[in-house]
Amino acid sequence: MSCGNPQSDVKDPGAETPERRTKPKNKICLKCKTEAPVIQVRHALYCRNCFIFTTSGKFLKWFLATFKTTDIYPAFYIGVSGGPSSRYLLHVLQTQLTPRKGKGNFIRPGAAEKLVVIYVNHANVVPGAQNLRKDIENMIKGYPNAEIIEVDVDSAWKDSQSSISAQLSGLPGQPPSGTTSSSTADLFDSTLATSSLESHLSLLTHHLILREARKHADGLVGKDKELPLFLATSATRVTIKLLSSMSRGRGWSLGSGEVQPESSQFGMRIYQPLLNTSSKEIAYFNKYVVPDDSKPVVNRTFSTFAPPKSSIDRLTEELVVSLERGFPSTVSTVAKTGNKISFAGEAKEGERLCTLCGWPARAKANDWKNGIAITKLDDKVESTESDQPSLADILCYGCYTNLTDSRARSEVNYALPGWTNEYAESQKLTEESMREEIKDCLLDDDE
Amino acid sequence: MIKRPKTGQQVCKDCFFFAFEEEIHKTITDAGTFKRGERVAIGASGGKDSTVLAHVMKTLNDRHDYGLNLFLLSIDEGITGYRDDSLETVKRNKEQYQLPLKILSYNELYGWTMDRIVEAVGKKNNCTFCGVFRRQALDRGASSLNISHIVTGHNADDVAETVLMNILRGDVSRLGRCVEITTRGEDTIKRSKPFKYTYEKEIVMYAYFKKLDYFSTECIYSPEAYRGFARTYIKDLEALRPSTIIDIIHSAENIRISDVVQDALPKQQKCKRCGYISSNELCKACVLLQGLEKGTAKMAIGNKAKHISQEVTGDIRTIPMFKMPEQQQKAEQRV
Repeated sequence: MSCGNPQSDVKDPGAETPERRTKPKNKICLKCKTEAPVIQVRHALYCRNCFIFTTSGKFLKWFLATFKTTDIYPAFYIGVSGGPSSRYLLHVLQTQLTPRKGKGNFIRPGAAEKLVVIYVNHANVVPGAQNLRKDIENMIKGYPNAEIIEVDVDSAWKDSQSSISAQLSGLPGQPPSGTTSSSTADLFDSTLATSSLESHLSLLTHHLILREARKHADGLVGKDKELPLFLATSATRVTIKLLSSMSRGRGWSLGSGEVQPESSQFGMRIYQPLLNTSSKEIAYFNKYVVPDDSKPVVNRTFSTFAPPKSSIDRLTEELVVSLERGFPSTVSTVAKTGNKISFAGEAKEGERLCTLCGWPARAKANDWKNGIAITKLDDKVESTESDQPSLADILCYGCYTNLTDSRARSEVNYALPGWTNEYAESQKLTEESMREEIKDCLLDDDE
Repeated sequence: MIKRPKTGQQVCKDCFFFAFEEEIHKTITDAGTFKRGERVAIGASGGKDSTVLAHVMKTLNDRHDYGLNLFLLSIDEGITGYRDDSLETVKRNKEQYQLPLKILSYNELYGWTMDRIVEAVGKKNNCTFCGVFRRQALDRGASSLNISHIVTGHNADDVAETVLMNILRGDVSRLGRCVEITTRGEDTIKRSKPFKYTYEKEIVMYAYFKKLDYFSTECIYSPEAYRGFARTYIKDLEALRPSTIIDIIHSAENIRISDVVQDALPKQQKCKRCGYISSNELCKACVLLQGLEKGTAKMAIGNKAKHISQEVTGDIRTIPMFKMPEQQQKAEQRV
């Protein structure tokens, strides 16, 4: 039967990978030592029951080490795409909401009063993608106190006041033309490189989840208290993310929480508890445990059915899958490496945020790029001074590279998300507060 | 006209040569790489990178008056049909650039050639031996010439590949170091990479249009399969987005290893047997050589190496004591 993939006749590049996998000698389950194994995870064989116990046990162990048994939050937020990892996280997380028996007579209360699922709908921007709200509603129908917030990618352009079309040609920003939805379409339509498209979508999705979670949390606990937001990034996905983010020049944000199990961003405490669980384990867990009527749904992305060399993410995915086939510890090694990386900037510098992706941005990062290549032979320096900040000043290196790389047409009109001006204002405040801090050392020129 | 792989600009040959050389000059001056009057060895293999490096270093030294004393330093690994031919190229480069040349062989230093090592360990892990032995051999060669600074032809593609390899292997200690232009511990010879931001394709273009005399055959002992993945990945990334190579280097320059991990890394010390810098009591070269001498070479690779006895019996060859150039000079004066 055909899988429907037009590229299915393309030769599998991983097929020639030298086989380095160690074949276990004993053909019995590693844990119970009685049953016949059904799955091999790295070098260990498990029977069905022991596999389910071990996999869910990883999450439980992490959860109990991270949250005190007496902590009760008004809500747990979780970003759900409907795919296998988020389906798995939904399943294991909801088990922590209901009271359960602890040691002795101790009854452990539920860790949160409700579960808020945030779903970002890509259907308007990804060709062939569907709105999975109904599927996600179906997934959470049996869970106590679960609610769903749906947000369209288009909503990033709500209240948009800035565009970057003119800035790319060296002129200050101009207001966007057209309506909110046409601005979104313009960004994705004008971007011809699939690598840039998937990067825009991934960053916007992450940011929208954060903003929606924060907006909801403001109504529950006010602006000052952080609430937990769970993201279902698996070890396999974080490996791909780490390598592709490195390839996109996003080293600065990698240390700020992009690949770490815990971080704080935008007033939310972000947890990524699946960084030690591979996509294979998740897929098998879903197969064995999740009921048939609420199985995960895989939606189309920009690189679905595309050959490996069509985009950075797709190419990286191919590399990781090929390597994991021959060298089964690759994913766990890289996932752990991500946890050893920390933010390279100073605390104050870290407050400077990219207005597009919301991750910390290094000041004048693009000057570095210009500094390593000679593009003009004379010493003439074009005057670019203006009251408006230049594009490189408001974006991080990775977003700047993405946007300028996607400038495949002579005339483009990239509207910046609606939060751009809000962030620009907050950064001005940061500079003012820094000035306030050093005011004692500043002398008037007249003195 | 040429389309520059690094910038995508269309330029004439002369402008390309000028931009290529001046970018390297900028890399050197921005990092404060050299001191006036310094004795500098150019690691020369006869390949395109080191040949272009020798040409550009000579050109820039004259044009910008660096005031450097340049030398060519080659290592003869003892690979028949490969290194012997490439060393002929280096000998011609010596005449072309009028630079003194020193050749140090593995056989002279370790008593083993790569041909014999491959006979003993097979083709699978021989790159481990070659890499470890070459690093020490370069430092020892430089020290014998009273040189404390070596420049190598590692280009941006090599650096990006090394960054990825270190991530894939989880080698965080090297991840931070591999993007430095100049690396130096307290007791080691300085190493610099003036081509850190130079694309491999541009080096090939430069060598091709300048008609430089270089040796272009790959090593007959094929590279590791694992590194091959990283190399292919980088090439494919470059095809997708040419700036990726520079972007990877930028990323690596902007990450930091967390303090907890940094503190847990092994501290650098001197090898008890040969005096070379090491993170264990015995340096890797001594462990590998001991394995070769005792006929347990495969044991010397990977985690099993920790269990190798550090006792030295009288019948096995060891590496001579390493001395920094100043120590070497004093020792020679005493003799």
